[in-house]
Amino acid sequence: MKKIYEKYNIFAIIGEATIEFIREIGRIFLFIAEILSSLYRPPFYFKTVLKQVFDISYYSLAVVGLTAIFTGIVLSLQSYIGFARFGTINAVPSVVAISIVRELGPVLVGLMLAGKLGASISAEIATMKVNEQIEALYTLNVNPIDYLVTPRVIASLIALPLLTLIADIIGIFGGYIISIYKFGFTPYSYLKFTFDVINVEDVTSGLIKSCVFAFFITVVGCYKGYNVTGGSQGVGKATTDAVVVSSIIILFMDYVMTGLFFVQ
Amino acid sequence: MKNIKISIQNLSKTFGSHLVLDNINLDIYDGESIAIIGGSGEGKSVLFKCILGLVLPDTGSKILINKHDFSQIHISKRNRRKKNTLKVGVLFQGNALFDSLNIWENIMFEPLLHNKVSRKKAKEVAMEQIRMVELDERIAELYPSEISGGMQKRVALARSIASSPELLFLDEPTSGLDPDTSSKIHHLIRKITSDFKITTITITHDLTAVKIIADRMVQLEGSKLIV
Repeated sequence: MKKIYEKYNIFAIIGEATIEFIREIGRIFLFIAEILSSLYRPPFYFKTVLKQVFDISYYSLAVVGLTAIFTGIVLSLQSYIGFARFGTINAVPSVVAISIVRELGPVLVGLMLAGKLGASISAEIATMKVNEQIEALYTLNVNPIDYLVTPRVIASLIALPLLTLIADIIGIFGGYIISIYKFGFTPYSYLKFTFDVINVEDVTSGLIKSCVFAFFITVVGCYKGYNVTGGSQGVGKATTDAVVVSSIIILFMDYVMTGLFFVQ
Repeated sequence: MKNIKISIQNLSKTFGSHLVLDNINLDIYDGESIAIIGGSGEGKSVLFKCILGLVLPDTGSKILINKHDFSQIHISKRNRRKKNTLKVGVLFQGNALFDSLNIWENIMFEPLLHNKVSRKKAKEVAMEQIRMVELDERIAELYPSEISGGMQKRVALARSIASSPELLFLDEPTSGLDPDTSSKIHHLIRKITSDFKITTITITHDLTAVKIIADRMVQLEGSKLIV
């Protein structure tokens, strides 16, 4: 009887969940500390970093490009419809450019990569863990954090800003195409309205955001994979968790950084 | 009188409130092959991981390797510490071969990764290892998924002895293999460990394996060791 009471005691449930949440936060911080310490501790796996940069950038280019071009097109269409009501259609190029460079470029690339990169990292490391390959690395005198985690974190910090920059250009190009062929802008006027408003801070703020997103996508993916339990079912759960958690962190951090960068 | 290579003293391990290993005492001598047997869930793998440093035992336990206590040092830190540590080779139950590397790269994974040898030299050494475990050289360029379970086991064995270990751990070395292949692999393990005088710890529940591989056996039952 007592056991049933304990099982359904709401305070016990909340207390346990809170303690577990705090424990999890602690474990994540320790994991991050281990990654940071490995940055200063040889051996360094430069070849692995380069391979990862190539893998992340090259294999994500198509998905990032498609996302960016359609976002630019849709944003341009919606902006035109809205601004036409007030007779201010000249604002379309500026709105498209600023929205993409400051916000949509980094956030959409982040979310796409949370799904693609975060899931693949998590699944790969989790499968290695389940198949004893992580333990095998230890016995082969290779620290899995140094070999599997840190190179991926560094590679994503290089690749994601690069992909964001490409997404910015493609997104603006999407808006340009639709505005030229559908709304009657001349190439000169569209580009002039774009570059008149956009400045270096807009671009750099987007790139800083993408670096922060990259860090969280890879750290969450690696952490979830590294701490998997329960065989193939666990691998599936780790992968799903990695995508969900990193997507939420991206949206939250976007809000925090937008506040920091643009609200006086 | 042989030297004691590893001395396990008062080793206990609990997970939450569950006592898995209870006050284990065991000496393993230089060059001997010892088998630890026991049923499923008796703690064989936990003991194996404690000795390796993959799992840390409860405080008060001692694992003396060459007379130095490593009980509370995780394998990652043992690896960084060059003094008094042993070169260890491990054959995992599931082989733990890396899917993205071909067979010879798997065997020479560590020396290649740390640039200890050129690729050409590494391939030569890998070929020697492949021959030693009685495999056809033509499998060198294949990937683990392209060879049979028995072949994978031999490749994993080749990788575990590639670094000339002083101590070899074998975790259920022939689980999932047919009796004929198992017998061949048991004899191969015995030949290699005898030829190179490697101290060997085998975890198994297969008494046929014990007869062939081991000089001595101990049994884990109800968290306790029966010598």
